Amino acid sequence: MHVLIIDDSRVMRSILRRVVEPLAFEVTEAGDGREALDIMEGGLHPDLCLIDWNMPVMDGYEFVTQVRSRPDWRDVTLMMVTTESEHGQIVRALAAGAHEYLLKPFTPDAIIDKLNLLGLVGTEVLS
Amino acid sequence: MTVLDSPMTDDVVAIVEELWTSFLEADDMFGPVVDTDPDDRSAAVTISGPVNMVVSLSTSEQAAIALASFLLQVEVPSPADVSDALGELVNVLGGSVKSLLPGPSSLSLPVTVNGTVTHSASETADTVVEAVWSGHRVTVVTHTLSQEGPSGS
Repeated sequence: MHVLIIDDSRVMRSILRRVVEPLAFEVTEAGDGREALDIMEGGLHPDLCLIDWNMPVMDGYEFVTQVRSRPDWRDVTLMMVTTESEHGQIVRALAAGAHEYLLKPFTPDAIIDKLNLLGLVGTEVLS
Repeated sequence: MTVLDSPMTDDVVAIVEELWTSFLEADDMFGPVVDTDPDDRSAAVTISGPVNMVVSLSTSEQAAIALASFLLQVEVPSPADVSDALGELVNVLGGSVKSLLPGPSSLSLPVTVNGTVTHSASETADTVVEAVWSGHRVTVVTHTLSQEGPSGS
């Protein structure tokens, strides 16, 4: 399993990496949506993208829209991990093609629960 | 912990507590302050909408380095890492405060400054929460804005 973590904060990428690496995910990081698209266009086909919303250059919503416009990436699971809490924005992201939505701050267990719901980790890792 | 009371106080305290327990792995926001250095590192985000507000976080240089070191799990964080750590913490705080306000609203990207975030006399400090993390004082302030945004000092 390969996860692409997309967040303009190195701190946040580090926190997310420490949650998913013990779950046997291989991790690649990107600092914004554009960099993430470049990485994917370069050949990386992640199983999962963890995506911040508010980023410079290309935000998370635009990234989701771009990925969903590409039939060859339709199997990539997209999860927003963001401070964006407005109901309308959450609905917008899900309508654009995000599978799950997690608000910051989160606990490691909250991420793992979401990954379990998405079928990306088994119940044996749930606490 | 010191708190300036306001209608938002309980909610802001709960937001800070949630951040402390989830990202900073602290059991609570109480405890003795060991670091008596002045608050000379700050970060802020602006919420724009029906209510315009600045959420800021200020702490000492020593605390800022300790926070970045903890969050990145590195011994010596770079200056960029320190700014990033404070910026991300205030970004998360700002996002949570935004959820308390009427919408629709938007959250700016965080800015970090050397010094403290100052406001014009027409702006009202809504809530001041002086929390403690690992012996360091960390002050979280919410300010309702009139017209202009914050500036560094």
